[in-house]
Amino acid sequence: MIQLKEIQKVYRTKTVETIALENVNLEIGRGEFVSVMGPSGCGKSTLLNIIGLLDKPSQGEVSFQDKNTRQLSDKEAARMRNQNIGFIFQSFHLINALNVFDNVSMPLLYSRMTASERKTRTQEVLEMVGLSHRMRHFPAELSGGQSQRVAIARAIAGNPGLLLADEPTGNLDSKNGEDIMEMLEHLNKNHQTTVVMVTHDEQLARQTPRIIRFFDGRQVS
Amino acid sequence: MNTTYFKMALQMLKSNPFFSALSITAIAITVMIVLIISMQHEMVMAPGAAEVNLDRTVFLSRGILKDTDTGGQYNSYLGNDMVSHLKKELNTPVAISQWAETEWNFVSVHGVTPSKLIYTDAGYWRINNYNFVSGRPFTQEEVDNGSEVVVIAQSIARKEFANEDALGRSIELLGRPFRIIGVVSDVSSVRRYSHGDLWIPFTLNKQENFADFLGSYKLMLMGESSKDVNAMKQEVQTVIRNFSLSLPEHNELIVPGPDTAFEDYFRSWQNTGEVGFSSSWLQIFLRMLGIMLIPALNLVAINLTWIGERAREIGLRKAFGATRLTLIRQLLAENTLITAIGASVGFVLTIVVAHLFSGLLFRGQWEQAANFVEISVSWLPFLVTIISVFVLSILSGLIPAIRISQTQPAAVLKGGAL
Ligand SMILES: Nc1ncnc2c1ncn2[C@@H]1O[C@H](COP(=O)(O)OP(=O)(O)O)[C@@H](O)[C@H]1O
Ligand SMILES: [Mg+2]
Repeated sequence: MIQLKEIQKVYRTKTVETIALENVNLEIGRGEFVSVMGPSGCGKSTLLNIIGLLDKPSQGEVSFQDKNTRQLSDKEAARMRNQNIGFIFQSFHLINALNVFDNVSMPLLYSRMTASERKTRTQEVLEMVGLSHRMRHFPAELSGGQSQRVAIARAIAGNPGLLLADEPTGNLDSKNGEDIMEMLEHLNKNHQTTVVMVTHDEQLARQTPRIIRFFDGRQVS
Repeated sequence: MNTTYFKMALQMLKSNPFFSALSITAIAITVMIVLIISMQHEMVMAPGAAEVNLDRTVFLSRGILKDTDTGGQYNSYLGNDMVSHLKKELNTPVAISQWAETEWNFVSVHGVTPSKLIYTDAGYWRINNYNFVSGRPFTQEEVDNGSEVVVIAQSIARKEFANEDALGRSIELLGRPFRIIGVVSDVSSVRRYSHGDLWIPFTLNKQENFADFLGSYKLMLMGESSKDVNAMKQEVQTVIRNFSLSLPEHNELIVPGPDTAFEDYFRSWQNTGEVGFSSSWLQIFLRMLGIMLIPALNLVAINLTWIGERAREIGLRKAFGATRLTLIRQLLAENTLITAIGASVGFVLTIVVAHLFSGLLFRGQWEQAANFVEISVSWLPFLVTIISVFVLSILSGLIPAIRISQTQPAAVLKGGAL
């Protein structure tokens, strides 16, 4: 599903040059559940952003569903993010001034759905994460675990084949972390969603069939 | 642009309530300030109320008499001699009126009423189109005979006679009785040529000082149409030049104008005396720009401070599938919506503030009995303001947002909740 070839990512500021990723070659198949581990600053988020088309590599090729993403137009890239990729962030990134329903239906606004289809789908995914009774609540009124479930609902609203989760449990206690993990496993097993999850938690990582380890911008295993 | 973008824009407004409220307030206040200030000018010099013929009328209000021997200089209104000479010589105007205004403490059994007493002629009533509640204006004959007749404003009639008919009754002016022949609706007190309380024939005016050239009169000359304005201007100057020839060697007479209502207003505003007016519109425009500057800068500052906050939202929307074009349209729709709401709020605010503080904002030159202000808003300044505000908010809000929409979402999606 995803192929990375000789990926390099360099961040340049006026004074320093940081090599965030160096010669990364990686293949992730359809339906896999992969965890990505490594110390802070080793390039995990950068990797996820590049896979998820939120950033471009400095060098190398990214293929998504056998399509080289370098040639994608803005419109095609947007469509791919909208239809095929769902993102979950450590800090949730909900829009505070919008209620749960509007947060979750936001990606659907950019798809070709009618208003009533959007409504149905939003209710459906909120039910899946067990928050249909919190639709009119605002992010400030939710616990961390609930916020991340809203974020998951938003990520899966467009029914994407790939879910990218950047330390999704990093801000949660272990009980809530387990819940989130269960949800991701459920999506992977029952909806054939490919999941790539960055985590610091060895225990969580060990629950996934495949672990990729990074150190200093390089894949070490 | 179709309606979904406006729905999206509405959602964006909702997602930034504080910013939206701030922006709308800034726009509303800008619109209000500019509108109030333009109203302060417009309500004085735009045709309206009794002054329906302003665009085909020119005005003479001042004369300067220099004495080259003594170096003396008299600066005053025009005198009876010069006025009658002009009345006799001018052919282009279809109506000419001389008028002098004085403060008059009108005393009756009901007390003292400070009022504006106007000495004038029959032409006055042709050029100004008063609404006669009852009766009629005075005639040429009454003026020639110096008849003791008076036209009064409705506010005076109400005060003196309550609900009874004032027509035919008499009031005391200049120490003798005057017969009321007409009652007119009050005219807005900021009106320069028609506001007054009491009107009597000018032939009863015994106040002339320099009875020959300079005195207490202003002159209104009305043409057939606005096309006559230039002809009247030229003719007046020719007549005055000839009139000056009859003066002694050591006297020099300068009569600036005649001016259009706009020029006359501007002359009074600027105290420019003899100076030309080519720069007037430019000056008004620059003044407006200066006035708009502070609220406009405020708007720009609001937009720029918010860009940091917007950045994450824009990045997030992009991460979940918004195209650049969609975002730009969405932002444009949002800007349009904010401007439209701000302008509407500003308009309503203007009307409310104008009525609540009319005494403070729109002051006539005199404090008299007929003290009310007719509030009117004209569309041109409103339109110009809205367009400027729109352009400004595009420049300060949309363009940086578009730049952000072009960066990679990862660059703006770091840590923190939105
Ligand atoms: N936008 C950026 N500008 C400059 N340096 C960056 C930027 N983003 C990340 N980096 C640097 O790249 C390296 C990898 O970052 P990141 O991928 O966020 O690491 P991780 O997610 O593994 O903690 C770090 O050294 C980080 O400081
Ligand atoms: Mg990270």
